[in-house]
Amino acid sequence: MTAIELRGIERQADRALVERARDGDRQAFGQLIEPRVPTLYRSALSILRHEADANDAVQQACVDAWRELPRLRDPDRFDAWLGRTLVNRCRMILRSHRRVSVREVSVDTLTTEPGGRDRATDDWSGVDAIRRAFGRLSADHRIALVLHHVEERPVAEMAALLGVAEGTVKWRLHEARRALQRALQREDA
Amino acid sequence: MTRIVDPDPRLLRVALTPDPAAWPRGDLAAAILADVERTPQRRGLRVPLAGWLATPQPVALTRLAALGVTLLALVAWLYLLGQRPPTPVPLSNGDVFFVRGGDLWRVAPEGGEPVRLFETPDVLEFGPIWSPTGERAILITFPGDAPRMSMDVINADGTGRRHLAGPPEHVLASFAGDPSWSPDGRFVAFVRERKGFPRVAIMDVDTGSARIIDSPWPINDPSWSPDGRWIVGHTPGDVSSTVRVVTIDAETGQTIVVHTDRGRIGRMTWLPDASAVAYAIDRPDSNELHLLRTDGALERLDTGGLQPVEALLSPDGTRIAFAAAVKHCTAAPHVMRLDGSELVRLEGESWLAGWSPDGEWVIVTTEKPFDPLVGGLVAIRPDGSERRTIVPWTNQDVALESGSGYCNRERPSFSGIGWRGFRP
Repeated sequence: MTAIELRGIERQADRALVERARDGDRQAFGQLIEPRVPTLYRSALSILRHEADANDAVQQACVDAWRELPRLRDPDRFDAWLGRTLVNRCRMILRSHRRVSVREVSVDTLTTEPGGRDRATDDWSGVDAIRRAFGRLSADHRIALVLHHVEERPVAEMAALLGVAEGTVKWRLHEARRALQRALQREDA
Repeated sequence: MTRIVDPDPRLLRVALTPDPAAWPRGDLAAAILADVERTPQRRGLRVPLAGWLATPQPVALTRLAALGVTLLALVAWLYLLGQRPPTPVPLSNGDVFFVRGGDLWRVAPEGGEPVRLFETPDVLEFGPIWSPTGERAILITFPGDAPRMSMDVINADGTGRRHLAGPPEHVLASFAGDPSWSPDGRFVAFVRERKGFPRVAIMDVDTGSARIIDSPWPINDPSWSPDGRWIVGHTPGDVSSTVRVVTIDAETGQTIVVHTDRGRIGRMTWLPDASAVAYAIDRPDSNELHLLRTDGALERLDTGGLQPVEALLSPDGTRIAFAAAVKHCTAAPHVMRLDGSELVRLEGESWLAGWSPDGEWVIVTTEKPFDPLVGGLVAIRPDGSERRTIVPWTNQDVALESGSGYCNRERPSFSGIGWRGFRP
């Protein structure tokens, strides 16, 4: 059996699970969600840069997805639809930061290079500056940068996920880059 | 040090990608499924009606006609209903308003059955933020299917709800919120964010006319001084960012940076004589409680080593209530005098919600991660001598449909509570 055939079978199985979950089958929803939780969590962590917030976002997005699932017309669109729900939850959490402030340990796990590098070196100072500057960005700018540069989603896919035109996505990416540049200049100052 | 102004995509990816081994805290999947067990699905009429009409054509036409007549009757009934004056929600002075499950509720301060003022399943509500005269309040609204935040205003009896301000219709994701009333209750200062840049706007609540404050800095959390002269706000950022406290002259709109610091600033409240604002500042190494004078002089309040994350001055300005971090995602509310004396811990793991208008009570919300039915809305004397539960979360009416999140910082009851002021 080829990899393509396997993927086809997986898609069919997922479609069946979505249809069962849409009809109110909680067990099917559990089977659908469980393997996706780590990926959703890492997406949320990229956008929010905060472990507890990322947990909250994923949990709330999944409950939203369960509640609204009967409204999903095309089961094949489940993943894009779930991603959109998560992005909206991340936005809400970033908004709520205006009112709620909790002392938290920062995300030390935001490293990618195996073996780790000394944070005091110049190389890391650039990475840290980007992270600090990223923390100044708005929800939409964060989401655009993460979807494109971290998750490497093409513009068309981002447009489908965010529910906007491709031109809007391109403009948002452009704006997000400019906002990041301005934030980096402020960090430098 | 390497100076980076325009990072290349590879460096950006390195900086923003989480560790592939990053894993959710606790058993997140189990927590989600536990919430799902308690959450009903939202179902429309589309599917049953489709089945009902999927019959041979003559029968289907008859049924369709019957359905049309029924719909016409329903429209006529709704029209007639709309002609009748709305039934005002009875309201007594000093009622407590809170948001639970995205809807607004009212309850008497001595407790009793809460009353849901609005049931809007498609819109989450936050607030309310009462005008100083207690005559009307602003609700923050957030439609679940669109990333847009807006503001509505309601009368004290719950009637007259109307849209006050929101992002422009053509902007998909934007924000209008963080309202603060002028002392006379005529104007409201709020944040209007477009293209990721939050600006303060001042609006006449009756006429809807507004002006945007021009500022080189983004400003969040505006708070109007009791003498009406100043609006104070701060620049956004996280716990390690530089933050500026900015005052805006309410008359001229001129902005002045009065203090620069590092960290994330919580809600700011004014002393009643408008001489200073108090706030908690959240930093990676240590949190502090600040009293910042309008001339920029800063006083650090002694919290006895506690780590404040949120602070609110009492209405008479003699005491300050603050929530101090106790362990991961939990806090304990305390009250003390401004000189640090008479420090009292009010409650264990719970959150500070607000003062009563007469300063006789502090409201806290208690909630346990994973268990939304533990705790409630609790009023405690500032000296800790008396405690009463206003609403237990076990009350079936206000029990959260979706349950409480793991480390749920977006607690509706916390971000949305207001004790309406007594009428003069």
